[in-house]
Amino acid sequence: MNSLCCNCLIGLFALWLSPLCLAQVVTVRIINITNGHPLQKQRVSLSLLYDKGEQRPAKYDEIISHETNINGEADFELPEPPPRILFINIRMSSEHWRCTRTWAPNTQEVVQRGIVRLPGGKPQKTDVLINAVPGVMVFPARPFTFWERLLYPLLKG
Amino acid sequence: MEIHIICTKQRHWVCCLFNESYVRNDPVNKKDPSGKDWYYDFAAQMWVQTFGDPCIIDPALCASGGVFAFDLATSQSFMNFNSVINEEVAQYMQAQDIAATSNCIQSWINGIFNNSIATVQGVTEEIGGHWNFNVQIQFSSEDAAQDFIKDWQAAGDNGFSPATRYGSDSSGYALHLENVGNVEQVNGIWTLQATAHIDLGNPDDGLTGILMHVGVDGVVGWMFQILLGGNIDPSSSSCPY
Repeated sequence: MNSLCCNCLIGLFALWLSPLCLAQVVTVRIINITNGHPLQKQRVSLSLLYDKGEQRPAKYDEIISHETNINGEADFELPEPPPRILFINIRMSSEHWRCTRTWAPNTQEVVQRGIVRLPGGKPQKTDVLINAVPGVMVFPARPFTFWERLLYPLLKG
Repeated sequence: MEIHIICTKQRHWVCCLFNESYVRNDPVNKKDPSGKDWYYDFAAQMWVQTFGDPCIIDPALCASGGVFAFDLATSQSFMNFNSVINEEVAQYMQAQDIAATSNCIQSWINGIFNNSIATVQGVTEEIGGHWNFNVQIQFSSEDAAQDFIKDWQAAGDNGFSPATRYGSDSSGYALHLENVGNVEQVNGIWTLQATAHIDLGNPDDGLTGILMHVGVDGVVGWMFQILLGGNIDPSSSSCPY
């Protein structure tokens, strides 16, 4: 009985410690807001920057870059401890998307609640509804309208 | 006579050269027996009248190849020199234009964002009659950098891509701050790189702004650049900041 209790306690202690020991993974997801389809092969960079006096790991990459996969997702393993703020930079493969290219959410917010950073422009009735999921940063992108596409070469400068 | 015909087509100060030049100068030693001559100061890009030997007064001038009026006694030498001067003047005017636009952009960014210091680092290229510049924006804290990114992105959310244009009520011009890149942090200083130029029409201001941007920035600007080799950036006196 004592041995069983001891094993249980060790197991519970291991479970309690696991989030602290295992590296946290955050995901950047890029989707087409008009139909919810994932956008793959979009370049995403995550800058891990620590403020003066902020505790930082002994070894880590300051900038990690990935391309979104077939699900429109790029996973980033955060070092322990993670920085307070995550700096995200997205390079879309086409200019003809309206979406957030640079963002800087609080790590805690991303891990605990997740974020959805809607693109600019007029929301459409057909826009898909996107809910925040812990650990996931969703960046919906809106394709240019016909007129935006037509005028873009003249307006982009 | 030939020189006179050419001269009437030149700028006033070049014409002065012939009225005032003394052909008895000593071209080897660059000395004027009468003690009076004009020389062209390439550094200052202007003609300067001198009394006495300028090589003694200003040795750097002679070392840098200042041209004396005496050297231009023939029409051919004048034409050669004039083409050099025209090129120099064009380069000087361009440098002045670039400096004025650069200063305007720097003041403009610093006027918008209080918690940062923007430095225009250098011109990249002229696109459609507008000079584009690399801009470095520095923040003293992580929060200030985060606030900037959020403000910049939010300001561009409802405007035309690529974000973001900051309009000026007084002039109708817009500062187009774009390509905000990755953040860097060195010794507690947070730095962002971006590019910027000035639009004469702000498409985010409605139909008039769109027409101005397409017509002036899009068409007239390119015509200026391609046909005249100039630009349509505002002068320093019309910079809204």
